[in-house]
Amino acid sequence: MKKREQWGTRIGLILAMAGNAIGLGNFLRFPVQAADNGGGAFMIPYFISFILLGIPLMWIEWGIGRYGGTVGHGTAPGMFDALWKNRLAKYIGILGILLPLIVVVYYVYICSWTLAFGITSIFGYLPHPNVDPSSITPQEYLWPYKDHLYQYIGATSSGLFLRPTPSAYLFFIITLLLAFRILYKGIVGGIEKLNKIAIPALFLMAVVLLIRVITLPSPVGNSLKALDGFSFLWEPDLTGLLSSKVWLAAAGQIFFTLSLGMGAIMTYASYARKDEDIALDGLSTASLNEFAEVVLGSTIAIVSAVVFFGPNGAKEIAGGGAFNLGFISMPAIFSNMPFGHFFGFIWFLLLFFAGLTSVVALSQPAIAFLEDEFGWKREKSVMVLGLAFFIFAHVPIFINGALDEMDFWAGTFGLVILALMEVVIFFWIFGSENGWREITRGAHIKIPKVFYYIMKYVTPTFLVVIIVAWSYNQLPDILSKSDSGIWIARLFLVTLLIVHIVAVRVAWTRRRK
Amino acid sequence: MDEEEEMTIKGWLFLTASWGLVTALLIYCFYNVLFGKGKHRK
Repeated sequence: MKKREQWGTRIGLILAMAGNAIGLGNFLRFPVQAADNGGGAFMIPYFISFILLGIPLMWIEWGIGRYGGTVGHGTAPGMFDALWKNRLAKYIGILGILLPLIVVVYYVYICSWTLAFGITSIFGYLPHPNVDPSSITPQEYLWPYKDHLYQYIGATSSGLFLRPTPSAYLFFIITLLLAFRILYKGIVGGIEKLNKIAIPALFLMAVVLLIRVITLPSPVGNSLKALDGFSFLWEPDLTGLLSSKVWLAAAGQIFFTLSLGMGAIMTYASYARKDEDIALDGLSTASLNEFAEVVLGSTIAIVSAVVFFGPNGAKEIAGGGAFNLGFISMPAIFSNMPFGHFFGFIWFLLLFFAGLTSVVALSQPAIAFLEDEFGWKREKSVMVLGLAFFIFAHVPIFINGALDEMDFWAGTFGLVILALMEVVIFFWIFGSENGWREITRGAHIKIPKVFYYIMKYVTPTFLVVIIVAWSYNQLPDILSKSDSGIWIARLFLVTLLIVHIVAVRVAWTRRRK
Repeated sequence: MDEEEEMTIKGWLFLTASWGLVTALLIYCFYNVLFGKGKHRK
């Protein structure tokens, strides 16, 4: 068996896993979800989902990953094949390479926006309308910023093709090159080093912004202050607890924020040592992610939006979605505060670090697959995949509607399917006793036995409920879309799936020979 | 611009409970990682 790389330090492993989990969603998606789904009351289904879904799945993925690493596999096809002696197993495992690959193809582009907006912010190139915010509506005030974003990504027309600016394309190439330069340097020299710098820096920047937001005076001269922002977000609407929509939103947020069902956690865990304390390391990763989301992510964007635009304005902004909050509302707020260029830069650099660490994590499964199953050298794997990602990314960059379509199938629906497969294969086929022993092996903390039963019965049931509910609520709308761009995206996804099936078949045939 | 609303006790309760829970979890984990009695490397 080929000798595989290993993480250099325990802290490095935890920070790399945290870098995988902490993404743009912690700072943009979470506050929007909380504001839209009952404020403080949202935290009840959120924490219940964290305990019943988040932590168990996190441990299961760490367990599968470390087990896979000990038998020479860094990706789900090989891991599932080792856990379940069935010819189907490796093909189910394809999801563990395909999903992160599809997500990273559009995520790297979104990540590049944050780099571009950060640099344009520090040099003062973001819009700066000289109008009194109190004299016009929030929509009127935000219009130049919305126009700036739409012009940048070329979303101003409704045709088949998007027309991004040359700088959007340039920043996409810079971000892709940077990510693959890091990946080229390997697990310790590239990924671990990046996360040891980026994650502490991200927390530091978030704290600086949090302090700035708490002391932010309202520019419109009234008595709005940060406390009103906290009130807006945390005042509970307990009637929401009776709505299935709120519970599904909370479960979905836990899924996205911990990057579950993506395959990246299993791949990262495959580089852990065989006696690594994955129980504590997994929990530590989740705790870093939750602190970044619940304390820092809840405060920065939404509280400043309330101070600046008032509760009704902030509600409209949150209703417009995460991009509205991060790329339209925040630049507008920064443009109207002392040293706003600097704070705008910090904001987008924070998002860039959050995005880049996730891009690197999501790219690693495909690289590990080529290294482990085809015996390629890391350098060759990185070069070939870098070129492939560059070509693939043209679909979401230039085809109208492709990004959303890819996000639904890979970044929403697919990951719940993979997560369910993980639980079934690890805890039901490999065996609950074997799975539990694998998770608790080398553990310094004692995992309460109740999690054994949660992993075996509650987590898979929860996942089935989510799949059924999402299929019922979202699939009809998604399937009814028939624009040319949507069909191009679907054709692209099916082609990628076929390529992966062929690749797995070839790899296993070669191994038999 | 709309009027501000005071945060009620319930709001404060949800905020402090949520922040407290995730902060406590973070401290518990990193205390064990950094100062735990296990033989694991740092």
